[in-house]
Amino acid sequence: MNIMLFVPHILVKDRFDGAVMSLLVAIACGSVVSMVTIWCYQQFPEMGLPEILHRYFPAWIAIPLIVLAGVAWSTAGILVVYSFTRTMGIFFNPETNEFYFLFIVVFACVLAGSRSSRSVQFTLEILFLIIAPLGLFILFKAVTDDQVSWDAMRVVAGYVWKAPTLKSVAAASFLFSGYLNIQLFNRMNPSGYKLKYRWSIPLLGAFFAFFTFFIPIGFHGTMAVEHYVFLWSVTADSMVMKYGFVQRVLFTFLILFAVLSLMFVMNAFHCSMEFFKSCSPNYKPKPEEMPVPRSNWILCSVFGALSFLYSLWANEQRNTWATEWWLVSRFFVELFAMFVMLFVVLRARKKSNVRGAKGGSAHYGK
Amino acid sequence: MLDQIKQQLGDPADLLAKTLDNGYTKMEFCFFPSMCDINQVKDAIMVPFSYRFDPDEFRRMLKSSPGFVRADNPDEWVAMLLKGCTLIQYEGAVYAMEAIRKMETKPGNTEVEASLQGPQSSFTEDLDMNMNLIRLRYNLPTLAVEKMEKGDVSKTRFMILYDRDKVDRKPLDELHKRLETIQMKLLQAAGQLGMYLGNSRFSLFPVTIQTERPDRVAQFLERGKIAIMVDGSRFAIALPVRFFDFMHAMDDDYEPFWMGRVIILFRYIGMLLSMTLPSLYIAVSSYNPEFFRVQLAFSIDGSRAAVPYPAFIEVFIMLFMIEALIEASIRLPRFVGSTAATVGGLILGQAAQQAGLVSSIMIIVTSVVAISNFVIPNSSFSYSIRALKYLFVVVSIFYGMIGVIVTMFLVIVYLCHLRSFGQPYLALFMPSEKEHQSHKKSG
Repeated sequence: MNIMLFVPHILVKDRFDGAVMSLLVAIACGSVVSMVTIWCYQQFPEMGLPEILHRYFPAWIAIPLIVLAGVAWSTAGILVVYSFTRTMGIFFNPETNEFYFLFIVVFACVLAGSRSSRSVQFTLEILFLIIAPLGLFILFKAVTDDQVSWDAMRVVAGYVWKAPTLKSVAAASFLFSGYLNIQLFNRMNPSGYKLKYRWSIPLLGAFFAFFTFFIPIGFHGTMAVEHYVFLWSVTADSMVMKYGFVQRVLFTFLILFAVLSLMFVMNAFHCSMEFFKSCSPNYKPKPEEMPVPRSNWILCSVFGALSFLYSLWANEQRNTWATEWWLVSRFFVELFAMFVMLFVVLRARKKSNVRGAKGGSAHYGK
Repeated sequence: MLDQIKQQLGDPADLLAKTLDNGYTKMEFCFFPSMCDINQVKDAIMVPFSYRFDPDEFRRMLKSSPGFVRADNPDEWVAMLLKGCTLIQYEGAVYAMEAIRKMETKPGNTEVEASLQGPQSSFTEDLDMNMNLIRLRYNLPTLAVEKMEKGDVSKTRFMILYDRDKVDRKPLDELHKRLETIQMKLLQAAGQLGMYLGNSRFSLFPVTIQTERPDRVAQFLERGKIAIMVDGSRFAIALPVRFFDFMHAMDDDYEPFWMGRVIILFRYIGMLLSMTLPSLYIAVSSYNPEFFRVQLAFSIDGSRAAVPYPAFIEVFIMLFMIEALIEASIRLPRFVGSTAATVGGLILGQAAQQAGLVSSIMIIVTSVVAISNFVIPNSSFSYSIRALKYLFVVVSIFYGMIGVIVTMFLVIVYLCHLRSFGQPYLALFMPSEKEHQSHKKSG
C-alpha cells in the first residue's frame, strides 16, 4: 500500500538524515495510535465513526469532523489513483494516453466503491487472500536474491542516531494506517467482538517498514537509490525468476501492486462516500444495500471526476509534493482522531456512570 | 354435470363423458383418457360399478376411500379434469378421483452431472417420483414440504422443500415474497423458475443452482438450504447458493480427502484459464510481449508471423469456431455429433493454422479454453464463464495486460456484490472471523 505513495522514496531521500530513527519513531507512534484507536472503537460495537460522533457531539461539531475524515479518505483515493495510473502507464503501456488509461481505473474504482459496505469487505478479504502468496513470493525473492548488498543496508542502518524528520515519521507511520478501516467497518463488528492477533500489528508494521526501506538500498546501493522515483518497481525489476515463464519479477510485482491499489482506492472511495452520506440528517447506516442507491453512484462519480481533475493539474513534481503534504497532514489527522476518540470514550464512560447511579444499566461494550 | 363440463370445455374430442348404466342405477362419468391411468380407473370405478356392483359397498367406497374426494363446487370441475382427475356423479354427489397417468416409474440416469462412483440415479420428470427419491435420502421428520402452483397456462405444480430445524429463515421469507410477485404464463423448466426467482435475468452468474442429483439436494437440505422441485423438469433448484457450490462436484465427497482437494484446485485453475487465456494472449502479443521471458515471447511472435491481422481478430475467429462447435455438438443428434467434433476440431484447426489464418499458439489457447471450460461441474455456471471470457477479450483489446487485471478485479467485486437470497455469494469467512483479515491488509 505504502509503496505507491512514494513512501520509500521519501524515506530513502532522508536515509542519511534520520530516516532510520524516523522509522523507529513511526513504528512506536503508529502502534500506539492504532492500538488506542482500536481499543476506543471496541467500546462502541456496531457503530462507525459517524454514528459515534453524532451520538456524543452536537451536529455542528460532528459534521465537520466527519467531513474531515471523508476528505482525508477521498484525497487518499485520488492520490493513489493518479500514482497508480502513472506507474502503470510507465511500466505497462508507455505510449498510451494517460486519460484513456485513467478512465478504466476510475471506472473500476467507482463501480467497486459504490457497493455496500459488506460487499467491499468481502472483496478486500478475497483479494487479500489471493494476493498474499504473490506478496510473500516477492518478499522471499527479495531476501534470498544474491545481488542484495547487506553491507549497504548496514551502512544506512548505522545512521540510526540522527534525529528523525517530521516528513519521514509521517511517511513511515502511514504503514500503520490500515487500522483506520475500523472507522467504518466497526459497524459490522458485533458487540463483544475482540480483534484477535492485535499484537501482530506492531510486528507486521515494523517488518514491512524495514522491508520497504532496506531492500531497495540493498539492491541499488546507498547512493544510487535516490535516483529512482518509482523506487520499488525498479527494485522489483532487479530480480529475475530463472525458471518462471514470466522472467521479470517486475511484472509479478506490478500485478500485486495493481490489485493492492485498486483495493485501496475502492476502500477509500467507499469510506469517504459513507462518511459524506452520514452528514445528511436522514441517514441510517446499512451494511447491506440492494440495489445500490443512487447517492452512492453520485458520490463515487464525484470522486472519479475529481481524480480526473487532479491528474489534469498534476505532474510528477506536483504529485510528489501533494503526496508529501498529504502524508504529513494525515499523520496529524490521525493523531487528532485518536484524541477525539479518547475524549468520546471518556465522555461515554462518565455518562454511563451517571446513568448507572440513577439505576439504569447502561454498560459500554464490556 | 356432463352438460356443464362439455359446455365449458367446448366438447373436445379426447374427453370421454358418458352416463353409465349398469341396469340398477346410473352414474355420470367423465375423464380424459389420455391423461389418466386407465388401469387405475378400471380398478377403482369400472369394476365396482359394473360386474361387482353392490349399491351399499359402492357408496361406502366413495365415502371412505382416500382416493375419492367430494367435489361440490362446479367451478372446480374443469380444472380438476385438466389435472387428470376422473369425475363421477353418483346419487347427486360429485366425486373426483386422481388417477394421473405416470410416465416415469423408475429414477433416471444422471446425464448432465455424471459421477464416477457416486449414485447414478437422477431426478425424473415426475414430481412424486422425485419426492420419493428425496425422502429416501433425507429420511427425517423435519423435512418440510410446501406445495404450490405457478403459470397461468401451464398450472405447473412445484414443491418447496427444506429442513424445518436447520433452514435459514431469511432466505425462506425472501423466497415466499418473490414467489408471490412472479407472474408467468408457462412454467416448463426448473431453470426458468430459478431465473425468475433470482431476480437476476441480467445477472452474469446464476444465483440458484440447478441439479439433477438427489444426493446433492439431500446434501443441500442438510446444510439448511431450500430446494424447489418443479413438475415436468428433471432438475431441482437449490438456494441460497455460494460461488463455491458451483465448483463442487458430488464426486469430491466420495473420494479421499486430498484427491478431492487437488481436483477442486485444478477446477479453479481451469476456470481461471478458461476466463482469461484469450485475453492474455491478446495482451501479450499486442501490448506487452516483454511480459513473458524472451524465448516464449519469440515463439509466440514467430507463430504469428504468417498471420496478417492483429491478435484480437484471430482470437475472435477461433473463439467463434469453438463456440459454434460446442453449440453444434449439443444440438446435433448423437450420431452426427462426433463427426462434427472431428471435422471442426481436428481438420479445421490444423488447416486454419497451416493456411496462416491463425497462429498455432492460438489453436492451443482455444483448446485449453474449451477443455478447461468443461471442467466446471455446473453447466449454467460454465455458461457464465464462457460469456465472461468475451468481456475480458474486449477490455484487453483496448487496455492490454492492465485491462485484464482491472477486469479480474471488477469480476471479484461483482461476485462479492451479488447476493443469493440475501446470502453473500462470495464470502470466505463468517462475519465474526473476518475483521482482522480486512484489517491487516494495508500493512
